[in-house]
Amino acid sequence: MIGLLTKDSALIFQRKRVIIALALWALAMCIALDDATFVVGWLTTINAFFAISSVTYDEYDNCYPFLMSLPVTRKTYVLEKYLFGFLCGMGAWVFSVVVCFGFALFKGSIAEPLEELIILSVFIPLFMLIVSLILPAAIKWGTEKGRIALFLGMALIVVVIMLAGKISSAAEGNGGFLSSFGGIAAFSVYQLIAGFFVITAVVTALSAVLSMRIMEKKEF
Amino acid sequence: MIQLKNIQKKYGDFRLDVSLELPPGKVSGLVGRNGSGKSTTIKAILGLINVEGSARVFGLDPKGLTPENKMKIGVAFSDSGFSSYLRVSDVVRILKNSYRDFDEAFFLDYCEKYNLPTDKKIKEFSTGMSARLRVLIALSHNADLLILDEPTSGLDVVARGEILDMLRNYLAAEPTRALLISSHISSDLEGLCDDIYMIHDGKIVMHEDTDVILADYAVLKLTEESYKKIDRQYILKTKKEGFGYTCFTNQRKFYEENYPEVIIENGSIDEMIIMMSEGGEK
Repeated sequence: MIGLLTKDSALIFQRKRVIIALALWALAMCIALDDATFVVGWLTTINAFFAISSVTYDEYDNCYPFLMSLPVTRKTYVLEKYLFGFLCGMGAWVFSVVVCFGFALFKGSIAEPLEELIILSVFIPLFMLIVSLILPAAIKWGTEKGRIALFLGMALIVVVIMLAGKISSAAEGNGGFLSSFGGIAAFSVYQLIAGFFVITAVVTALSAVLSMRIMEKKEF
Repeated sequence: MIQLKNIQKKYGDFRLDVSLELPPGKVSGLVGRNGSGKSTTIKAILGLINVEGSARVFGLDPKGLTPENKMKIGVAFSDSGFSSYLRVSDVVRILKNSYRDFDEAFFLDYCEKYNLPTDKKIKEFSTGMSARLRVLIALSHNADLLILDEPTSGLDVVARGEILDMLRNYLAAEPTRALLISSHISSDLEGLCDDIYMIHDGKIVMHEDTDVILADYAVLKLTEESYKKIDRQYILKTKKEGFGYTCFTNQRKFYEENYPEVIIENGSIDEMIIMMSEGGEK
């Protein structure tokens, strides 16, 4: 697994100019906007796609037959992709949080740092959700089709939420979209974030199991 | 080390049905024309495809090989390796983190010897440099079993010679090391392999010791008249030619002694490939 992580890290650092540009962009946005949520959210989720690109590299030069002859199992290969995705996202999250908080503390514009940090932590499960949605499709059909799967997945989530809202409004006669989440409103923001972490952990685990099954059946 | 018993795989009209064995200390060649099933056989050995029948590597199903087992296998493909966006220096770090017995000094020595710059991306390498690197990777971690699929494909005679020398040195260092090498370049195999498996249309059509092929197999050039008269019990394959017939035999001495007037040419793996794949029944 460490060998595969070394490989994927080396491949990602091939794009060091892009990484540096993103880091500079994050710095500039921190100064210009003073909006940590936007900077952390954007930088973290964009890094999820960096993680997926490691699968692209494996496909591109027909690397799979050789990679599967290295001392790794197919299961290890899959787990490494999830771990690599997590490390990419966490790296971006930690960097953007440190930068944004650094500026905010310097300017004295942060009132409740702990509360803000907890809210920003919502982007950790969010990028893992993106990784978990794309990876099984990327492993099965390739990264291009994997991205299509992500967009379809996100569209499906939006449609489901909208449908739930419509059904709820129809049932209650009025109240609109938010009233359908009347039960959710009873929870605090922290509880909702904690719930999001749990749901993402379950989705990631299911996604990893699915990816492993796909990988076990795959022929090279 | 490798044991295949009637492993079968179907791709459309193509059907692979192969049995072969590679004991420790032996060097076996897998020859055949392009598309005959060499790479599919190697993929079956490495568990890269699903097959029917019994495949065993180190006594285990290839799909059940553990990372520990795989550390003892060195693999090189002609069309697959590390990403071409990596540098040799990245490859060194990857191998160091993948193989317990990775010999960095050996690897870097050969990189220097073969002019493989460690700071250049693999995609900037020539075909010969990439091929040397792939074989070097397979030899770099003290593997007991080497499986090389067309490692000299597309190389000039000098580059092929260098790779074959590297293989000979590696095998000579430890007598139990075994090698399965596929190639359609017969001269590569004649000086390296103990025995040869000839594969055609997915089937092993011949398995023979290399020495026997070179000593006992021969090509007879026969006119129509001499073809009719000759004893054909030791003729394996026959091919119609403008002058008459070319016949492939595994009993060279019989024909030398009994038909001194017949033109007999040395058997070679090239002849074997041509006759066994193109020749008809006697």
